[in-house]
Amino acid sequence: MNDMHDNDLVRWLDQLGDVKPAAEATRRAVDRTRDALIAAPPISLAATSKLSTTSIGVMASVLLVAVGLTGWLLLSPGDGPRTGLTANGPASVCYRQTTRTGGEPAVSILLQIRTDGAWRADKSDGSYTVFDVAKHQALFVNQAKREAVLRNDVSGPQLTLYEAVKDLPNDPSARPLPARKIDGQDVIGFVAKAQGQDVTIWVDAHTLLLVRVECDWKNNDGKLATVVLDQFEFGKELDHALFSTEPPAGFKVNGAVVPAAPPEQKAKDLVITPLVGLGLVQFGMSRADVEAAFGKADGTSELKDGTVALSYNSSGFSVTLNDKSAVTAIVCRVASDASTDFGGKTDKGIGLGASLADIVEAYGPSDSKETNDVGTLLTYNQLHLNFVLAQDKVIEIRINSK
Amino acid sequence: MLETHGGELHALLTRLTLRATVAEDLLQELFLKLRGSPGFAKATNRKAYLFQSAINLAFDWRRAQRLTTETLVTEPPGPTESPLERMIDAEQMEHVVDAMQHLSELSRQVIVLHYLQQKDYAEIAPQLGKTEHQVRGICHKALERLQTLLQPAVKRP
Repeated sequence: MNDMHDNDLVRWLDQLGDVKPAAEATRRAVDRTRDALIAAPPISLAATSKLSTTSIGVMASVLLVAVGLTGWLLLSPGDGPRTGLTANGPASVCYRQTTRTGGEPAVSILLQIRTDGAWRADKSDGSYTVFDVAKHQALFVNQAKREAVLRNDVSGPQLTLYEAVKDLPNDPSARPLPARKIDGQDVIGFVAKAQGQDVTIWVDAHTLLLVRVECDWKNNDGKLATVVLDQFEFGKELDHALFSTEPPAGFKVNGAVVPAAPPEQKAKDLVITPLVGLGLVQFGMSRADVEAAFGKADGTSELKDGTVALSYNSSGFSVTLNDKSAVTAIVCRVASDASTDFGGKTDKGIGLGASLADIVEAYGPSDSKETNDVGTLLTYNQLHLNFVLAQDKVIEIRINSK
Repeated sequence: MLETHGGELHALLTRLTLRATVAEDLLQELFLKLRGSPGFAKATNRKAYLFQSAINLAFDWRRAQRLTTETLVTEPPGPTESPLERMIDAEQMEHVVDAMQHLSELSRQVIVLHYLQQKDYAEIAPQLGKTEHQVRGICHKALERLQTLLQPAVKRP
């Protein structure tokens, strides 16, 4: 190779290595990612519905405020500002939460919260979130796109603001406000500090039930959001169906979130049979057959030529169907960032990790053997069977129809 | 891991996308994806997994952009760079990263770790489960491949 060309290339690569983002850009990127992780439920939906990072940031702060204040409202005993709620109080609270950030349009969410830890947030566009603390489940539904995301591993939103405000009822610095009327209702108010910012609470002058809560919340972008909680209803009977974490029928469920593949134990029992298929699925079968055997795919790729690839990432394989919806190829592979290792073996006992010698012993010499810096590709023409090896270990097994 | 590696990952994503705003979005997407990733949960070397996922994500993004090497500029920059030459530099870097898409995942990883993250071979080897000698070999071949892919770009008149 020409040295000059080599030098040019290495120089470009070195220059790439010297590219550095501005410290401010990195800080902002990390902050926004942290926002997104904190507000995991709506962000998971955002990841599939491409919500903007701005709306993500807003949603993060919205949830922090909502859960924080709600935690306080539902749990606060004590002698401080009274909210009309006690440990024996109503089993639910519903309210509207409106957030205004800078000059952006206000975002309104209707929250319905049960004291057993389940809550539901409905946005004006029809999308909603259901969170079940006891089940560690969260369901996010995008009505417009007919998509849903179900997470089974959520441990609950961060109660950041709750930590800050939970002792407010006992805070002697809580300052009473002059009585006033809100929508014709006599109210009395208090101002207390939460994370250095004022929270104003208005309660009915007679029943002492909450009427309105106002606070300013600085999100991680440094933007100040004004949050208002109003339209409170206490002790309302809430339909249990509203808090179901079952995705709506007919909605596309994000495969990465809801493992649809068979249980791991079952996946390990799968046998790859060249010219026949994988487990119960045989070449020529339809997509419906595949889904009957393996469940809904984690992911689906549809190509212009009509070919469809069904990915069963949680079991480490994918099934390809031709434009007539007939199975034509099956690929079983080692884990990538989006999948796990395939656990099954071929009918001759070759699984991931087997060596070249193992393959040759089982199938005899291959018809062709190609090696590059990725690894080695073995082809058995008669069987329509390929093995890819890296470091003398099988990393992929592919079978094709005749 | 965000607090520990977020800055380094953002820098890496910036180098691979050459777009700060895209890198910002991809950083967020990376961590959200890994939250629910069984592979990440089971990974013995989570840091390596994290960085490999970032590299894959960046190249997925590049593929989605459908950038090709067909529009490579033919003039390499000279020793003293004018603004125009700096623009050419930026375009060249774009093409170099773009050409990496055509490398195998392993080769790409070695190039990225060695040149873009400026790690030495001894550091890369355990991360990839290879010997230092193997990593050198992979890197050498990857450079050759890149050289071929970029031939029109670096060829002098």
